[in-house]
Amino acid sequence: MLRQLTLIVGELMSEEIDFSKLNALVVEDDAGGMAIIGVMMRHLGIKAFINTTGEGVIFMAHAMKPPPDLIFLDINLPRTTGYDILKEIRADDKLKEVTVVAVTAQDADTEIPKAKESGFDAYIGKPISRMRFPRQLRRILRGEDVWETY
Amino acid sequence: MSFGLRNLSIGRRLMIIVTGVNLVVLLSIGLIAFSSNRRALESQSTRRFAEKNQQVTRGIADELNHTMATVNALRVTLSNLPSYSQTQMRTAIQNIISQDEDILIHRVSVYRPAEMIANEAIDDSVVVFQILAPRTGVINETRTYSFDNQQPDPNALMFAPLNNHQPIWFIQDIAYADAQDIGAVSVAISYQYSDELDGVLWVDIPQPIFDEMVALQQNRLGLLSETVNGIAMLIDKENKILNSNGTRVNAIPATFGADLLANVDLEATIDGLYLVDDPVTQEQVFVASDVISLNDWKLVSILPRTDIPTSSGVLILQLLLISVAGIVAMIFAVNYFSRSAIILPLLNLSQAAQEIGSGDLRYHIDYRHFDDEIGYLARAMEGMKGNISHSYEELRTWSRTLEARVYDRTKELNATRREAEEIANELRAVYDESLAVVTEPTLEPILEQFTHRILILMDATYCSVWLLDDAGERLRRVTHTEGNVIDEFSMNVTEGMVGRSINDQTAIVIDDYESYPHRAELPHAPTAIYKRALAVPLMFDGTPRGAVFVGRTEAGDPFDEADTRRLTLFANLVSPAVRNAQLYNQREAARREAERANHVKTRFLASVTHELRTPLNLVINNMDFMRIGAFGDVTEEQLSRLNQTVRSAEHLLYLINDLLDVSKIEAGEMQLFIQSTDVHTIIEDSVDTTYALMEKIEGKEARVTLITDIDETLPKIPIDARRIRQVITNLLSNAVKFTHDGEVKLTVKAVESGIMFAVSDTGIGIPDGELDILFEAFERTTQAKEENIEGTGLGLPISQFLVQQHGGILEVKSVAGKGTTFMFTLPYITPMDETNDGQASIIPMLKSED
Repeated sequence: MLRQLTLIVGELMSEEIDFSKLNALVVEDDAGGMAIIGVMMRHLGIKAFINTTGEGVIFMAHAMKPPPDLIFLDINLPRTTGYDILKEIRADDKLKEVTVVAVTAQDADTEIPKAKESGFDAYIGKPISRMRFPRQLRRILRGEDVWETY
Repeated sequence: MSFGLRNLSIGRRLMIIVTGVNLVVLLSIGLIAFSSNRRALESQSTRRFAEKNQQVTRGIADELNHTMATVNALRVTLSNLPSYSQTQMRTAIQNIISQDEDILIHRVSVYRPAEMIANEAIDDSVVVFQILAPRTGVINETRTYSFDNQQPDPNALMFAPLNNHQPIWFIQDIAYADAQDIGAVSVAISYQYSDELDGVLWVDIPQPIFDEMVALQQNRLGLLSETVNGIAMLIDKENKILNSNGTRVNAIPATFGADLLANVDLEATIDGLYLVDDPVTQEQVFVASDVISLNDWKLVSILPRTDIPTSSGVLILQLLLISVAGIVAMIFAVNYFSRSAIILPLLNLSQAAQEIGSGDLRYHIDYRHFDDEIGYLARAMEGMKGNISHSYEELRTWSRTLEARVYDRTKELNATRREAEEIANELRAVYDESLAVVTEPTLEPILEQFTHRILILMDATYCSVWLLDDAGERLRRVTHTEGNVIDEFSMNVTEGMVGRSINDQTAIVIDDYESYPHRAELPHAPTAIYKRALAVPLMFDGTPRGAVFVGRTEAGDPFDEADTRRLTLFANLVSPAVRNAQLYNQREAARREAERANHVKTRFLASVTHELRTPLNLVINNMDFMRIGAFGDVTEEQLSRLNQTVRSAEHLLYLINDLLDVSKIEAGEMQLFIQSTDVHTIIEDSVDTTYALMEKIEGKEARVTLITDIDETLPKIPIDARRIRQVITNLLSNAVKFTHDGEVKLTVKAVESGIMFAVSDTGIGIPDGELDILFEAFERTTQAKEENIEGTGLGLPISQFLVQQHGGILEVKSVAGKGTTFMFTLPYITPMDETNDGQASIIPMLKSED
């Protein structure tokens, strides 16, 4: 167990990015998924707010102080889709530059191109790999292409 | 002589032979003439020879006669002298000599008898008067000789005339005190000195004169013979040679001459000459001998026979000219004769033969009147001509008969041919029209062309095509010329003319369709009523598959047999195309259906997997975090169970992913997203995942070490990162699962053609026989099954597919019990390279549907 922690921490320590300074907004309707994302964020020290409906995302984002550095969007949401929310975000003056990551269990082959085209900055397929997530985040924050699945 | 002769014509051959004979004959004649001429020439020459001799002899004789006359004159004078003093004698002599201008005497010697000497106290008996210039007669010297009171030797030659009173001729040397020694011809004669005594008078003629003449003769001989072998001799009456070839010979006995003359064979005389054998040389010599009657001297000329010229240039030339003239004359004669008698007739007749042989019987044959072989031949040919002419006549009669027959037959054949041509034209028309139909690739155009071409071909106003459905119960009208191409009308197969034609498998012709009892009622009645109707079945493989219906209006002719034939032919030519088009359509429909089904299946799977993944996400992450103590401490037992749970969930997840992948691959819908990628990241990801796996397998970490050997710098390559990660992860996890002790090593190196990836392990290995099933879906090795090593059986086939799509080959080497190595190389350049400025490009594996 210690070894696992060391692994995670070791990675964190070796990198410049200080996850503890990051704010994230997660839009995830699935309770389980939400929970996992939450745990992940907590372990990395990222402050995360979770929206479970997909409504009022912009409102929530505006409310966050400081504003979010990352927004994680699920694609399948009860009364909307990740794409619609993305559109809203990009239309918003304050939020249009924020890094938006698609997080979904959809078939990557069809979904990744769609996400790219819609304007997502990255894509991480569910299930999220605990081992790789920190590295994926780092690369996303560095502006690299991350369009990956488990 | 036979060489080349065969190639010459008769005339020329004749000419040559005749010329040859000519030459031979003429040569012989020539030779004969020549030799006789030779003899003539010889005799001519010898005659000249003899003549010359005579001539010179005469010349000498003349000289001698002339001298004799003077000598006689001197004798007479001396005989009548009153006294014989020197002075008196001198004067007398001088007188005589000067009277003759021609005289050549150069000395006169007088002998005075001894009595007189005693009387007149003369002490010299002989007085010699030397005449220096004989022609003038001047005596310029007188010498005296004495005999010392003795009588002269009566035997001395010069005193011989004292005895016989005959002149005697002889030769003597004359020596002068100052003159050269010359020879003289002398004549001695007696004169009356007194009544009782005679004296002797000697006269000397210089020999050179005779020398000249003899030499001249010898010269002449030389000229005659053109040799130097001729000899001219002056001999006295005792046959002593006085002069030979102009050289005086001192009375050497002419034994040669004597022998020669003694051997004269009078029988062998030729023209007054003597032909004798030279006793010395044994050759034949001509001897000419002429006597000088005055003193019986002879001039003898000798010439060897061989020196007698017997030929002459002129003669030869004459001979030649004669020969040539003779030959030419002969040639012309022979030519003329042979031409007229042989060559011309032959040419003529052979020409005739040729003409007749080639069928021209008009040639007139001459020479039939000849009574030689030519005439015989000519008459024979005439007869032949007659026969041939007769045969031709018969032939002509026959040919006329045959021509008539041929004419009749040709008429028949023409008629037949026209028929055949008509049929051929018809066939061609049908074929051409059918081409227009069968070259259409799909069914609708085929059917459209079908009906329109039929209208043209059959000169009809309406056409419909009916096809049986597969059950064979209903006839569907697939096209007709009055409405939409497919109007889906169908009727029972038993209905209508078409139905009957299918049923009976025969064409049906109706001239008045309106009254046809089996007329089918159709929803779209054609605008023009058709009275003439024709239906033929469409046969395919011996079975009727449909029918064609054609109609003409009342204005049109009824359909006849030719029409039926044509339509049947056309229909049969075209029906395979129709059938094929039908089948093609069916197949296409089926294919599209299958594709659609596939796609539906994939979409279904995709959405299902989403539903499956979502809960799994929860399970895996929860269990995983729990495992690492994120939700509190965990006992050993709990850890172990948590590991199992996570692994199980992961296995399920992998299964779902793999199933979806396999489905996509099979449907050809697997898409790759190619981007220029630095492989280090995906290697890290794969390695991390592998470590995580190793954690979750009991005791794995303790016994197995994961080693990496990665090149520090690796060029970016165009790959789908996700998929390659998938492959590497698959290979690494396999290696880990199947290695119980030892190490698993990942090697990544840049090589010439690309980046080489190798995963090797010291695991249980794969037996040779099972190497091929590795890449088959759902197949697992016996040991995998025995040891219950978890796996989907899909990982390797999917990995192989993915590697291949990138342009590489996934290879495996293994020794059972020792270990295994999987490796592949991803090339730097693939056909899928060159994306838009490094943006990911989507490469559909096969046609993707949308």
